[in-house]
This record gives sequence, structure tokens and C-alpha cells, in this order.
Amino acid sequence: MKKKNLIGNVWEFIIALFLILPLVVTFIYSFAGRWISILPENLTFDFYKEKFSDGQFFAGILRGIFASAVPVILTNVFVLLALFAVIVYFPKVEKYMQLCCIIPTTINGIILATSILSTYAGSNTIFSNRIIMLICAYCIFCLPLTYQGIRNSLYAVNTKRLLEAASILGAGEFYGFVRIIVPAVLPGLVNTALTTFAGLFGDFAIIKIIAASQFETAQTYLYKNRNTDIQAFSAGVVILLVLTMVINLIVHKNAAKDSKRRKEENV
Amino acid sequence: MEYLKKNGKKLCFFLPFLLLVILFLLVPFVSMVKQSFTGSDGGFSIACFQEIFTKTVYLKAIKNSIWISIWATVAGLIVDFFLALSLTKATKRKKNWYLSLLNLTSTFAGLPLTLSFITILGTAGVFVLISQKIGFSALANYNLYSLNGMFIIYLYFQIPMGTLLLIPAFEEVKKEWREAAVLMNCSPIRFWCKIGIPVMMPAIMGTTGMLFANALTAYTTPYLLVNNSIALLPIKIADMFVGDVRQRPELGSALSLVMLGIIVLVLGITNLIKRKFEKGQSK
Repeated sequence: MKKKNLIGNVWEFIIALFLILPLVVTFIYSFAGRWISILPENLTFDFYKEKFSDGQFFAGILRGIFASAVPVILTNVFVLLALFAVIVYFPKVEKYMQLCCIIPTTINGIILATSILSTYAGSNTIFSNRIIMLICAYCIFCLPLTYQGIRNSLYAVNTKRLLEAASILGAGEFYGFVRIIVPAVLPGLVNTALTTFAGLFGDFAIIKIIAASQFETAQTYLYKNRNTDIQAFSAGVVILLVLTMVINLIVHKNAAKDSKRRKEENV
Repeated sequence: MEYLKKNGKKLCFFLPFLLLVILFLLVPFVSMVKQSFTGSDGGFSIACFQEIFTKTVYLKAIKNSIWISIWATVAGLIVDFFLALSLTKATKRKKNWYLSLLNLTSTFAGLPLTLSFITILGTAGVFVLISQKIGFSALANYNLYSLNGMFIIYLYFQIPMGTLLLIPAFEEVKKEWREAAVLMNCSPIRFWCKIGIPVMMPAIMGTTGMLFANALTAYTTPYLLVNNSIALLPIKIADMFVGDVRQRPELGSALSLVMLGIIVLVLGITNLIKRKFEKGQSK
């Protein structure tokens, strides 16, 4: 048994090394003045100073946050409304709704982006605006995960029962939903929302196809400047990574708190 | 009509969701299918598909894409399986630490990931330069800008995803079963072949499908590394819509359908195998 654990440990170590190495090297590189030998020659903060004083990079990050946050919020609201109607009024529709929400896992990334682009690009409607197109494509993109998250939370708090109780006490169904159910499931929703947000924030494929030239986010900014200094560039990558890492950390903490709370409630 | 009048208000809750799905999922999909069957004269034709399945460029793109996806899936699955296996035996603290690492690296994808690999293993990459200095030839001539060289990045993004999907499956294999098997003199290898893997098969197949689709549709990595020097489906598709040369949306749509066909085929096969094992379980 002991010998087997040894093999397992070695394997875990190798994979962890493989996973961490690119992160670490990029991190060191962003501080390195010149690195052409085994060790970098000197360390410097210049590239971070440069990045932090670069208005374009900041504007890119802000645009990226905007383009990722809006779709996440919209999708959450849309799915919440629809699932409310499903649970309270039309339980039979759930199958079809689930189907709609699972399809984007197959038609993902570039197929979605190119099909939306070719449908609406020259259409002269409001959808031919690239930013609206991008936001709507992102909405579809985060549909599967959002649906799954909201559905699980709504069933976990037993929405139907609670709403029945609320209506006996005289609250309308929708009023009860907004005042009781939504606050109850909110912590769970925030977690899925943050996860999808991080996913969208890190997207390059869809934005490259739909709105690369019209809407410059941090990702497209980095892409455009990829041939400049590698160090400056690593600094940009590190800043983006730290941002996603922070989001990840919050999700992790929240999830841990949530499961702890659930356990306590069950006890 | 009566029904609509009665339930009209309630149906309004579906409106935003339905509009989104219809306008940005259904309509684009239908128009893509329609476009792929449109000939140069505007009528119905299968010329695009004929072109795809006769021209070497497209056949090569399909072949390359399937090839790298299969390898990335198989290699990813093997790595993920043993990693998840050893993680189930690890202490809780280590497991939590590892799970955080996997969660973190699962968001490390696309552009930043590819760029960091360029910093490490690109033509002027750190490891390549170091290897040249110390004369380690295996890495000194590493060519990241090729199908084989790119494979390492594909493997990288398959590890967190696959392992996170497989860990719950390992928890289904009860400890008691293993103990019972050991009591009856069953070797660990035999236990996994006869009991463990068959029980986990549905989850393994689900993971296989996800990994395959993930590798097949990966766009950012090959776009940044090889772009058009190696034919790959996602790049060819995007080029038909936003490329610098000649844009041919009809052909792009047809290529998208081919890619979708491949995904559906693989998902179908994995689902079939999944069903078979699920049936065995309920008996």
C-alpha cells in the first residue's frame, strides 16, 4: 500500500509542477530585466509601472469587465424569470428549457460566434452593432452553467413549497419569489455568476471573431501588442491572471462557506 | 386562444429567455445550415460539402483536427485518471490544496496560457535558451509552432478540466467494495478492471466527450501558434468569416456543420457506451 502511494505522490508532484511552471515562469519573467541565461540578470518593476500607467490597457480591462458582467447579469435575470414560471406555472416546460440550455455546450465557441456574425453582420438591425452582438453571444455562451446553477439552487430551497406558504400568508407568487426565493438563493447564484464571469473575461476566440477591431478588451490589447517586449507582455498577462485568481478565490471561499452553512442547517 | 388569454401574463416570464434563445441560438443555427447548402447561384446545392470532401486543404484540416483531438483526449484521460485516483487517496488537506490548483489552472486558458508557453518554449523561450546553454538537445530544438509542439498546451488545458470531472466519479467507487475485494484475494489491478472502471464508465465517457469537444474547438492556441501554416478546422472556419483573404461564409458554414457533425458523432458514441454500462448497473 505504501509503495503505491509513493507512485501516486510522484505523479501528483509531476502534474502539479507541469501546471504551475508556466505560471511561475511568466510571473518571474514579468519582473526580469533581461533573461537569456539560466537565471534572469536583474529584477525590475518597470514593466508593471509601464502597464499601470498605460491608459489603453486599463480601458481594455474596464471594457472586458463590462462585456463580461452585462451578459452574466442579463442571463441570470432571464433564466431566473423563466425558471420561476417553469416551477410555479408550467412544470412540463422544464424539459424543453433544459434542452435549450444544453445545446450551447455543443454549439460552442467559434461555431456560435461565426453563425451569429454571419446572420446579423450586414442586417442593418440593432443586432448588427458588434457590441450588442458580442453581449448576446456571451449570454448564450454562459447559458448552460447559469441554468444548471440556478436550477440546483432553486430546487435546493424547495421554491414551490415556500411560495405556497407565502401565498397562504397573502403574498403574491411573484412578490414572494422576488422577496423570499431570490435572496435565499443569491449566495449560490453569485458563485456561478462569478465563475461564468471569469470564463467570459478570459475569452479570446469569440471576441476576436465578432468584435476584434471595434471593441478592444484587455485580451485583444495583449494580442495586438504581443510582438512588443515579452516582459511587458508577461506583466500584462500576470495582471489579468491575478484578477481571475482573485475572482476564483472569492468563489472558493463562498462555496466553502455555503456548504458549511448547509451542513449546519441539516444538522 | 382561450388558453393564451388566461396564461398570457404568466407566459411573459419566458419572453426574455425565449427571445434570447430564438434570436441568438436558433436563428443563427438555421441560417448557418441554410447557408451551407447554398450554391453560388443562390439555389440549393451541396457544392460546399463536395468541395470540403474533395479538396486536400480541407481534408487535411479535418484530419489534423481529429488527430490532435483524439491524442489530447486519450493522453488527457490517462493523466487525469491517475491523478484523480491518487487524489482520492490523498489527505484532505492535500486534496483541498490540489483542488484549488486545478480550479485556478482551469481558468488559465486561451490567450494568457498560450502566451506563457511561448515565453517558456517558443523560439526565444526561457527553457529553450537555457537548454541551448547547457546543451540539453531535447528541449533546445523544441518547436512549439507545430502540431506536435502545440500538443503540450492541449494537454495542459485538458488536465484541470478532466480531473475535476473525474474526481466525483471516484467517490462513487466505495471503499467497502475495495476492502471486500481485497478480502477475497483480488489484486488492485483486477479490482479496477472488473469493478472500478466499469462502475465509473458513465463518468469516464462523459469526460471523454467533453475533452474531445474542448480540444476540437480550441481556437485561440492554434490561432496564435500556427495560424495558417497547419490546416486545422477551427482556424479554417473563422477564416471563412473574418479572414484577410477571401471570405466565403457558405463554405465556413459547411465546415462548421462538419465540425458539429464530428462532435455529435463522438458524443453519440460515448453516450451509447455510457448507456450500456448504466444498464449493466441497474440489473
